[in-house]
Amino acid sequence: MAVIPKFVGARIKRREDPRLISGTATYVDDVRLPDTLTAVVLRSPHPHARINSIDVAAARSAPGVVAVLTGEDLKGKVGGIPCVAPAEHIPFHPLLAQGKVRFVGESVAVVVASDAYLAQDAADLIDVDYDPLDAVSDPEKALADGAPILHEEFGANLATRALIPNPAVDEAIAKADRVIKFRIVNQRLAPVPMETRGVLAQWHQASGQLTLWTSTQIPHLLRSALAAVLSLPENRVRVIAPEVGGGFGAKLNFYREEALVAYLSRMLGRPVKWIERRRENLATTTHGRDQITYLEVPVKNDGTVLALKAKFICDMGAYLQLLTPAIPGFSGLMMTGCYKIPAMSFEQVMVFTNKMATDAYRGAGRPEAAYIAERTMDMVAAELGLDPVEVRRRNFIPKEAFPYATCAGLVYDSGDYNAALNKALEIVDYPKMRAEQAEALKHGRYIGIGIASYVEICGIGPSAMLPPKVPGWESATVRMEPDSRITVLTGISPHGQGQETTFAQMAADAFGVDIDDVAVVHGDTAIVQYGVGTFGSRGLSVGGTAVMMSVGKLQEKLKKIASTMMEAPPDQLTFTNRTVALKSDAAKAIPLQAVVDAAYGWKMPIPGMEPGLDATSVFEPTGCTFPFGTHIAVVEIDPDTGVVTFLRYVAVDDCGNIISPLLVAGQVHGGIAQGIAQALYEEVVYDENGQLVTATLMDYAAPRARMLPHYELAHTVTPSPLNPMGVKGVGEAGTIGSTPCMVNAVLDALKPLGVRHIDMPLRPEKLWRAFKDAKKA
Amino acid sequence: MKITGEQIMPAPRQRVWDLFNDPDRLARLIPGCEKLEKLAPDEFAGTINVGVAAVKGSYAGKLKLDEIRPPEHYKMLVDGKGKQGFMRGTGMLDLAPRDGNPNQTVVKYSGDVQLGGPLMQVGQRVIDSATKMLMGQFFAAAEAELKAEAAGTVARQGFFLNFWRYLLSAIRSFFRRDN
Repeated sequence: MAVIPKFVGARIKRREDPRLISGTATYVDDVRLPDTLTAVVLRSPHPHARINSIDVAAARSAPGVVAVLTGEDLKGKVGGIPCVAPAEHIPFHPLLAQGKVRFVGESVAVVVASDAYLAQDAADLIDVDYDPLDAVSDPEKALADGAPILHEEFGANLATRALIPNPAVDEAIAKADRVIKFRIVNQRLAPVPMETRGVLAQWHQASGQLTLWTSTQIPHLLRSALAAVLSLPENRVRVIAPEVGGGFGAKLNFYREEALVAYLSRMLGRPVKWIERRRENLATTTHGRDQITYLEVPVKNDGTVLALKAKFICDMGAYLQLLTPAIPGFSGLMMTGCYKIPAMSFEQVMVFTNKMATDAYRGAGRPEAAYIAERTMDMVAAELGLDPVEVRRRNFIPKEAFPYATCAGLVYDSGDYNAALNKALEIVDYPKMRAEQAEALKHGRYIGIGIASYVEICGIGPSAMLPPKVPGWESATVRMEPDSRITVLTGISPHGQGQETTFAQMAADAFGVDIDDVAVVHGDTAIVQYGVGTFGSRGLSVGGTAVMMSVGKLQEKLKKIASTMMEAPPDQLTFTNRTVALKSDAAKAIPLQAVVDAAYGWKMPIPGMEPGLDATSVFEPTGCTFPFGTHIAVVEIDPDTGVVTFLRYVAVDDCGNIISPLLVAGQVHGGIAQGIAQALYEEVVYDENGQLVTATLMDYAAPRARMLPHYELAHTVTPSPLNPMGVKGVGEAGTIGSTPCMVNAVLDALKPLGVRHIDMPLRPEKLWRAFKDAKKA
Repeated sequence: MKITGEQIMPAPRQRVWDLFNDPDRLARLIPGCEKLEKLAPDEFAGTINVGVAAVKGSYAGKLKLDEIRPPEHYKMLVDGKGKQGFMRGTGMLDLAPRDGNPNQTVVKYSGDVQLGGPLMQVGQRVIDSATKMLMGQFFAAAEAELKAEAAGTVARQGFFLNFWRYLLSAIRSFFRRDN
């Protein structure tokens, strides 16, 4: 019999991919139920307007139409969309606008018809009489006196204010050699998942049960929210996340349409489907970032940063989604980055504007923080005439200091920031690169070298760190079936991360079986025990640990049964090659199947033990993991066109121990792509009147492959002490390191022009202007 | 969206003014105009059908005139909507005899229009040039109308004809600029 290899740490291709790349995966729109009706949502073309009246008579009598609802029809019958993060002012968030619309794309009415075409034709017949109001799209203007007010009941556009004062910061500013001040913007981004949102609801009249298929990252949390909004018992609601074509945080939410379609199915007694169109996706799926930061950085002349003082203006959009006001908190808490900055303070002003709500987007608050920390380091270097590498080294938290309590009150689990920096510098050959840069400049070529050493926060826990109703733990059930095949039921709901591969690698090794003997099941609340979901790079460090806890329980049980069969103590036994064998002598073994038969057949009961092989565990982390790394980019800018050419891109990431190298590489690739997109290309633009200008993929500059560099990846390994696998998480690392790295590289190239800072995205036009202005001066 | 422009019409100011206040004739000149009615001396209602980029649709709206000073000036308030979006805004029209040639009239116009809906979201990249083209077609048609009137005939109007007139005048003005 062939020997079964070990899978953990091996370069295993993703088991998910064949179905994904052959078009045989089942997304929400692929679920076809007989008799299904289609819903089309009528949306506001106005950013801010009073609704005088809505005439739906023509739409109701149009061919194929089954129902037309407006906000008035829902009053008192269904709850609003919840925001679980704390805020001073949480506005009522209706499923369909009531009395007023507050952003372009806000749902105003819904038409349900026998097909999408008839529904759209009928929606076109709805006559809404709007009374347009002045709108505000700039969050700083929204705070000014006399600005149009979105929610009159609050008297102003302030959603909430967070203040973390610290007198030590002002002392540091007073005694510093120099105080560097600047303003930076993390522009608004659209997550643009390949699969837009989509919902299918089926009400089972006989049993009073609701089944909802939806493209989500959090089926269980969504079930709880949906049951509350519709006043249904939670054991009568089943949420299924089938294949999900990308979430990036935008599907870590509970949307109007999810509740609306469920409501309609119950009302009509028929399945109802709604599939988001791309234009709806860009206008009505949560956006990310959108923070303005004013910084004051007191420094010593040797480059030591003494403190960090920040004021954030955070754009919430018109309503608060599930976690909207919680996201900026991470930016504040993480803005000291990898550095032993002794004091920090910040104020965050969160503002309503006539735009779509912001919420989590890959990195969720930490890319903004890394951008602040890494732009700060480069600003300090430029101001003091020091090498950016030297400034970072001078301020790094030393390796011996871990676990390290930051001035923000976080405890970094483990790290070796110099190691990652050194490795990246070695790969690019930094001194040689600097020499080439200087030589090129003599010939009028503008080369820039950008460095970003990031640290981020992952696997967030314990639960007390998260808002109410969003726990930090994760669940897993591991079952050995009667044929000794293994089923892993995980509470996380992977949607592209690849845990069907990772968790199978782990379970296969633990039981000495083949990876194909393991099935990983997720995303169906009727099958999987209550869980939390996939976000914040928690899948492996929290969800994977829960899997290993259940694996351990089953191993223990199997060993106990085997020990009675083999007459050997359980702690002398191990699982290998589909057998249970003596650790000391693999030849002394019995087939795993024989042990499984004993567990299920139960002909020789073991006192104190139950038949069957099934174990459920919940892992509640005691703290967060803090992955880190250094990215280095080398770029060249054409002074005549402002176009950025990539010369090198090196990413050294430390995500602790690595279970699946190919998956880690995939995550880093995708993350860097999205991070570079923020640095160079993407921006959601609303004009001053609140109209969405980037409403199609012709206008929103999501990058294509040729707009991205070749990636050179490497790793250092600093295990986390907080989970038995020593893993940290890597889902967002690429996004967090790459944005400041790329901006630092471009601005390094512009240094000879005397440019201090340019806000993202660094489009060719802006860079071309920088060259033009420099020529003029 | 800001619109400004200037055109020279081959007719005395009063005749141009009369044309610009005659809904029946205007209806034939405005590209895509399906209906234009005078509700009151200073108020028109109408429907136009235009396509901007991939967004084609019909828009119903009202045009109110204000600050009327015949035959030289009025202010327009536009408010229209259709299933592809809305437009709201104000515009100014000023007519002046051309220096040294009372048989020609200088038409100056300016406007500030807000657009919304798919019209804006899909069309915004091309809306400026589309507007320029529509204005060009309108003035080409108006020029033909005024010339025909002077000759005592009636000009033929139609979308393709006016588009052709617009193209010809655009080509002519291109060469004029070159000289």
